[in-house]
Amino acid sequence: MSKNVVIMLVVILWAAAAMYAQSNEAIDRILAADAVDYGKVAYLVLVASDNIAEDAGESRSFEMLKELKWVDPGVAETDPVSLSEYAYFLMKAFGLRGGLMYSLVPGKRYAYRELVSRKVIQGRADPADRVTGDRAIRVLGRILDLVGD
Amino acid sequence: MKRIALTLLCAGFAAAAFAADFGLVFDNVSSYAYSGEGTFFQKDRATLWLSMPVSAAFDFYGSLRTDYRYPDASSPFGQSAFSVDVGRLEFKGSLPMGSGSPLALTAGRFLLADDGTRLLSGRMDGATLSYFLPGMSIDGMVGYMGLLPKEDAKVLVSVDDIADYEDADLYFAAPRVVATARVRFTELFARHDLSVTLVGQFDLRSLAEADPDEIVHSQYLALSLKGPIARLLYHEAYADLGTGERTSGFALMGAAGYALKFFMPEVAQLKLAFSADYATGSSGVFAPFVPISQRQVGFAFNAPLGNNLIFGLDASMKPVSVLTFGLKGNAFLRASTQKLEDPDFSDGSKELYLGVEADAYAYLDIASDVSLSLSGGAFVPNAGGTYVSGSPVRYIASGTATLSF
Repeated sequence: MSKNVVIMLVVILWAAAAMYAQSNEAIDRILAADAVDYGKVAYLVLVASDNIAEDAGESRSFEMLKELKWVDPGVAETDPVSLSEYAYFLMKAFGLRGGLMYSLVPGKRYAYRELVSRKVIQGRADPADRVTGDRAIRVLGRILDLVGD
Repeated sequence: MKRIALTLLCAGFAAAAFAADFGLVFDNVSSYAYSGEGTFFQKDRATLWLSMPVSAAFDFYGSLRTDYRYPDASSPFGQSAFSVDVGRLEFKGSLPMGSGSPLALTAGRFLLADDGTRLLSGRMDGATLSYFLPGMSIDGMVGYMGLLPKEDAKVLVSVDDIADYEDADLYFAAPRVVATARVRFTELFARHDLSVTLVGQFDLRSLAEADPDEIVHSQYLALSLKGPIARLLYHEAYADLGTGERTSGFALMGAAGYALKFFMPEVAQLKLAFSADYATGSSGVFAPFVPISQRQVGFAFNAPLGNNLIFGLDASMKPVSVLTFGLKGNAFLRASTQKLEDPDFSDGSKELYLGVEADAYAYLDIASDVSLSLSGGAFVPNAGGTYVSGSPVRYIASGTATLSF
């Protein structure tokens, strides 16, 4: 087993441990997704950042995301999330400070750049990419590592 | 039919543009050097870049840069303060190879460097192929240097190259083909990596009026070995053997070096390094070592690699996460008594010791998109020995600021 696979497994396990309160079923659904949607991402990010209770569910989490005005009003819960939008939710939910441009113009563009710069987003990536469930969990694991949770 | 094709083409570009990432980077470099008289250099660069996937396995990255320089330098439109250039134009991806690992391919204008960046470094127009096997990797590259700015390529192999470099009317480097082939063995023994590289450059100009003593084409065999020798202690050694083709025969040249590095991440990421580097001068069967891309061996001491023996000490640390600070010291000797191309050189001197240099540097990552670097150095020449009496201490101070949008 290569070193990278071991590291990946440790990160996934750590992320899973940090989110121990989340429903196993929800995590399974996220991991199985080829492209995570706003509902799944809202639940994952808001629960992991202690912004919502674990039993809130995807719909309630998505509503909270809208109330916080982190998403465009026109999007639906089942719409797929782009990698740059996911980066923005993570930056907001965990209260991460970005670079100069993120401070001046906070948004998904500079959130994505920030997480690439901090090596939270790794490998072949494009801001418009859809996010697989597996990638969403791994990126969240690195965020938890970064914030020392 | 044409309308349908046009619509599909526009849709394709729209989809690609939707997936593209782009940005603008501003760099400002200011430096002041003193070597008997002061010279000020200023460069402001704006780089517009675009990155996008072009297929499931291939990505495109392109950048266009514009420079303002002081003093004026060569540009595509003559001597000017302004210049425009294609920074990178890179298609990168992988081709499936049956059940084995995929073949990695890069084509266009890309960044390239040999192990240790002694022979060849900078941008190249061409293509590379890389293949990975368990415990080893193989890669090859073929490139053309005639479309690169001569200032960037900095190829000073032949007398004609030096003449062209000093010709203010010329902007492009000489037409030249460069090819490399490398085999890397990972953790071959005792966690040591071995790299064997063949590099060759072939001047495409006519040799009819070549100086019989100038090197025209050159080829190199480069060996590099590196790995840990104890906890926190690493070392690396290299040896380069080169042949230079002259119209009057062959020239033999070589370079070798050793570095011992100590890295203590728990103490402010402290790094200490000792290095010794040697490059042949004109002595016995050897000719002065000439790499393909020329580089300066010191910071304030502006001599090229070749006919050198250099002992260096480098210490750096990261006292806070955003700041890296370092001190460096080098002692320079020449490898042979061959005359130096330096206005302060003392003709007839047989001394090998050239002088000593001390440098300080600091990198400040203010934010992920704003950074600042400052460096300064002083070279104390062996005045009255290798250099004429009264040769001044040479100073340089440089600052770079980068802002990304």
